[in-house]
Amino acid sequence: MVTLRSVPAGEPDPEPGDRLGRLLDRCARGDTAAFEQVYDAVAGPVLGIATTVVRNRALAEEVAQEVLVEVWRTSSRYQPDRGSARGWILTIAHRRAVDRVRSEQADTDRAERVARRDDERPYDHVADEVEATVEREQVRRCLDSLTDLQRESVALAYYDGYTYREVAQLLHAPLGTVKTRLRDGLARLRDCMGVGR
Amino acid sequence: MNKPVDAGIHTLAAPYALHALPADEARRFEQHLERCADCRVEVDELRETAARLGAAAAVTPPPRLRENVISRIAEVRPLPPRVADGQTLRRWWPRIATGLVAALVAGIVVLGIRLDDARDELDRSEQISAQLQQLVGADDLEVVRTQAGDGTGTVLLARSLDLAVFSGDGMAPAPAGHTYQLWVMHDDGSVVSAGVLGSPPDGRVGPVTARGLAGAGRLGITVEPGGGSRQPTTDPVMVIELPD
Repeated sequence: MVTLRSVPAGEPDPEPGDRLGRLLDRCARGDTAAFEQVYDAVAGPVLGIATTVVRNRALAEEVAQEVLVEVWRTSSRYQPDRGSARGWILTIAHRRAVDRVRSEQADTDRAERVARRDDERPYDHVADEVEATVEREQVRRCLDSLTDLQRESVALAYYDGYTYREVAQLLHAPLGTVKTRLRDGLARLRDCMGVGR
Repeated sequence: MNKPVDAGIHTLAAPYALHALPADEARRFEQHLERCADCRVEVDELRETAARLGAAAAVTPPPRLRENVISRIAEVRPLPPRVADGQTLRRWWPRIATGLVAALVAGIVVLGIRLDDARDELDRSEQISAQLQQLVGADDLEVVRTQAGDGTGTVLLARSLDLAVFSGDGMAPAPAGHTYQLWVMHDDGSVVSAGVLGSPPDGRVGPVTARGLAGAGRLGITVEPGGGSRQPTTDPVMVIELPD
C-alpha cells in the first residue's frame, strides 16, 4: 500500500526579498498598487542613504524622490540572479546620492570641509533618528568587528561618498593600503552579515 | 576567460561596489567586469553588503515624499524589458560598445537605404551587422577610440575572431578625386589594405572589416587617389593602436 503524505497547501511563505522582486515585476507591468508596497518597503532606507551621503535634508529628499521614480521606471531591468531586489534599489540610491554630492561639491574644497569635520563616526550622523531595527544592530555589530582603519575607510567611502583616492588623502594612507582596507573590510562585513550565494 | 588577469584590478571590486571609484576608473573596471565572471559575482555580493550598510541608515520619510513620488510615477511609463537575442548580450552587453554599435547599425541602415539596388552592398552591410553581433559576444572584445584632428576612429576588435570593425566620424573631406583607405599595419613593416573607405560629405566612413590581424599592432588610414592603392602612397592621417 502506498502511503500518501500530505503536502503543504499553497506556496510556502515567500522570503521578503522575493516578495519585493515580484512586486517589481508587477511594477514593470504598470501596477501602481504594487509600487506603493515597494515604496513602503524601501523609502526609509532610500531616504536614509540620501540623507547620510548628501547631508542637506531638502537635497536628500530630492534625491530620494528621483531614486524612487527611477525604481518604478527601470523595474523591468532588475535581475533576480544578480542579487536581492532591495540590494538593487539601495545600490541605485547610493549611486545617485554619491553622484549628487560629487556634483554639488565639484567646486568646493572637499578636503577642507573634512578638516573641519568633528570626530564623530560617519555612521552616527543620523543615528538619533534612524529606525531602530534588528538589522541596524547587526550592521553596527559587524562594523564594530572591523579594525578601526577598515571601518574608517568603509565609512568614508560609503556614508560620506568619498572616492578611494580621497579616502587615502584624508587618512594619509597610500592608495594600495586603502584599497586593501576597503576590500578586507567589506569582505568581513559580507561574512559577518551572511551575504552570499 | 581563463587567461591571467592583472591582479591589481581585482582590488577595485570593493571601491567599485561602494561607488568610490573616480568616473574614469569605474569605466575601466566595468570593461574588466565584462570579461571577469568571478569579479561580477564578487561585485554583486559586495553591493549586497553595502546595501545593508545603507539599510541601517533608514529614516522615517515625511508623508509628502510618498505623495510626490506616487503622483510622479502616474506620469511615467516603466521601461520595456530588454529583449535580446542571447543571454550573453542581455546580461553583459558591453556598455561602452552599446552606443557605438547602435551608431554603426544606424550607419548600416542608411547605407542600406542609399544603395537599395546595389545587392552586393546590402550583402556587405548584412555581413558587417553579423560581424558586429559576433564581436559584441566575444570574450576578448576591445574597443579602441583614436582622435586625429577632428576625426574620431573607433575600432571594435576581437583577436579570438581575427576580426576588427573600423568606423570613422568627423573626417575632413579628402581632396577631390581622393579617398580614405584603411590599412592593417604589421609589426614586421608589411601593410595590407583592408578596404577603400571613400570620403562621404558627412565625414562618416566605414564600417569596414579588417582581418588578418595576427602580428598586426596598428590600423592606419591614408588618403589615396580615387579607387585606392595597392600600397599606401601617403603618410597615415590616423593610426589606431590595437591592443594585444
